Amino acid sequence: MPLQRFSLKRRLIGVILLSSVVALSVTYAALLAYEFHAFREGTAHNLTALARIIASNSSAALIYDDKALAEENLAALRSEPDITAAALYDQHGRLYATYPAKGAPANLPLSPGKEAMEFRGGRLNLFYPVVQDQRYAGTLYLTSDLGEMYGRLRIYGGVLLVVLMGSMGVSLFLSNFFQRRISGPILELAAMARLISEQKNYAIRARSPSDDELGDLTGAFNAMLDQIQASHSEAERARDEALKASRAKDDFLAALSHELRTPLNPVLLLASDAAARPDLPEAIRADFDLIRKNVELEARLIDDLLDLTRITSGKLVLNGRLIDPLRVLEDAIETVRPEAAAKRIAFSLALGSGQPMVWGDSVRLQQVFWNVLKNAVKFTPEGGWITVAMREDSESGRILITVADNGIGLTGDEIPRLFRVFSQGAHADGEPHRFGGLGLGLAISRTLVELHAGTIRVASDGRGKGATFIIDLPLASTQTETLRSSPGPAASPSAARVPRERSILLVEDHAPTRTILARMLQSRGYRVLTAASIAEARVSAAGGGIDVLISDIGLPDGSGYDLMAELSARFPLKGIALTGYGMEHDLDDSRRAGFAAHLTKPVRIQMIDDALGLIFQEGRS
Amino acid sequence: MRLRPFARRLRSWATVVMAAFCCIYGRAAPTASEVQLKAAFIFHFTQFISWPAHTFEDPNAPFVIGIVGDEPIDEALTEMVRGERVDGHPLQVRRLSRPADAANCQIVYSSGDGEEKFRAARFHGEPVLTVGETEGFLQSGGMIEFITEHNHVKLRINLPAAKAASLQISSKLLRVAQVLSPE
Repeated sequence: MPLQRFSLKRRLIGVILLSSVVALSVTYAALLAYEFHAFREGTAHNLTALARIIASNSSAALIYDDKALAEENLAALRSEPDITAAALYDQHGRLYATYPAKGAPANLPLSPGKEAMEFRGGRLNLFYPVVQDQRYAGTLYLTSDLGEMYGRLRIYGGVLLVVLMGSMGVSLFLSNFFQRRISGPILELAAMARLISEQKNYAIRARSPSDDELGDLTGAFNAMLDQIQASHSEAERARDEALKASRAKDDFLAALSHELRTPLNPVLLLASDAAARPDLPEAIRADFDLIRKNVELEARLIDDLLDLTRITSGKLVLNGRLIDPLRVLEDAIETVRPEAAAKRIAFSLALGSGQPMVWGDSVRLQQVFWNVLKNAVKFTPEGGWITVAMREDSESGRILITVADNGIGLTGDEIPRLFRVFSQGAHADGEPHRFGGLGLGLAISRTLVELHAGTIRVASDGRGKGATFIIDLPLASTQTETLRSSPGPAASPSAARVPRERSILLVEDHAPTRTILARMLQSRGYRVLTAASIAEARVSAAGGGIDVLISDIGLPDGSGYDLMAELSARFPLKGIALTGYGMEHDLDDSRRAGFAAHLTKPVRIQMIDDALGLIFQEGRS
Repeated sequence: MRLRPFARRLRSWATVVMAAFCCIYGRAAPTASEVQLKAAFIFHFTQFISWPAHTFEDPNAPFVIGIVGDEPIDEALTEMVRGERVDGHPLQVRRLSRPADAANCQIVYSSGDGEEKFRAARFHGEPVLTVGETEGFLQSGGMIEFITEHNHVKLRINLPAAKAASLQISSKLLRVAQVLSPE
């Protein structure tokens, strides 16, 4: 990140530096080239002028053969330190005089060349004719060492180099100073963009630095932020609304299931009571039993719907403990046995002999088994068979429950859809409602099995070839905590078993349920006080002597939990909670409030009998 | 008229050959070398000395070099000046037999016996350059004298005499000569 932040600055400085250095270098190179040329021209000019004077002065010496004079003329070159050698040739081309007169360089040309000047090997060589009165009298040769010229050029170049370095320093300083006007706003913008994307705060705005393109950029950036902010807040609003709508739907479904269950309550109480009355004729009792079964099925469907809302809202929580899956499975088999018997379906069981334990919620696990078995019974034709097997695999630490049938089976397409919500398999499309149900059972079962860290899958060889469901659950570490075989309370509804008159305070705001339940309890020999609200209950309880409180939880003026807590603090009484919600936290709240039993409406009268039996048995012991 | 380069080179070669000849034969023929040299010296005087403007009344008049005496310089000098001009005046070489003839000359060279006849001759301010080779020539009013030292021909110049004749001698020439100043 810091590297990136500086790269723009560096690049700007680099561009400015490079441009100025290139411009200066070109300028200095041109200056140097000009100076070089000027130096050469100047040197050549000086040498020519010198040659003209010496040649002019030497004409008489050559013509009148005065060697001393010729040498004397050349000796005047001492004042020109650049000129290292010189010579005079007579008109016949013979070397006549040299400079220096003694020890003249050996490389002097032996004969004169044509009038010419040439730069060679760091020297400037010149042949100049000696002419007197337009007559050729000889040739002068001069050679000038250009070392000094080159030396001066070197110094000049060095000075330019120093100036170039200085210029670069100044340029670096200035570019570092000025680049901020360009990079500053861009870096600020980049930092702001980073801040916005990190904080998701779209209300931040960049300040516009100037009226130029950078200002335009900032303006465009801010306009973009406006749009993002608008669409973001719109999206947030839409999400909030969707959440609210979803919550409303959940609440609605919960309320709906509650409202749907409540009317079933008195019906189930009545039907279950009547079906068990020995004083009624067998045919009548069978009719009541049919009513009871259908009410229970209705309640089951409503429960499924409620479970589904819990699953979709992630509120389904297991009430886990160590349980015996064999027992749970046997209970589930018992619940479907009557149906299977009605279709003359043969059950064969291979449940093993061990006592494996799993961690789980027995109610939920039974729901799973019940769903699978119910499914098998439903899709197996009359006279078919169902095999239930349970096998313990201690090596992998798992237990396999297999339910196989010879029913209509499944096609390959149907298998993956089977455990999805609202999917009953393709055969349901052709003949809707032939098999009934909402198709929620298996979807809920899968979720429940997964909550138990298990898997559920199905195998089938195809249509008409039956199906096999395999449920796979992890074994609990085989601790020796065996299930206490709870003493099955006497299922007998006989009122005669009540040893003395017990007082029950029944608090229920649903009038039909209250009336019927009160009548039934009275018929069992209990003294029953009724109340439709907490306020009434307080009045009724004020006199004391109440043994058991049976209370609805959702009361018009408060919660049954509060009532239980309040009364149990004042009186030594036990409680049974009746609730239409049946949610897991309800169970916890129920226990915390001091209820001994928690029954989900609609209830069969036998369930209340069992609960009361348990309470009074404990009280006796 | 300028000499064409070829002709000049040819003449230079001739000089070289003669000089070489002199060297080979040593003192056997110094005269030939000296004569040649003196002819050249005399001819070159026309380049270093300026005659006054009124010297020639006729612009086409020749520039005459007169020769007096027994030195056989005529031929060499004639050869030297052929085709040459001084300020547009064609050069001529004449042998003078009497002093009066010298009046029309611009240069008079006298040698040996002949000099005696002209030594006394005075041109009374006429712009005539007198050149001689005998000792005492300058003392008797001559302007330029050839002297031979160590086999080298040198010049001596009587500057007052030349000035009296309105002749301008180039400093270059003065530098190669011994100059007799006015006292």
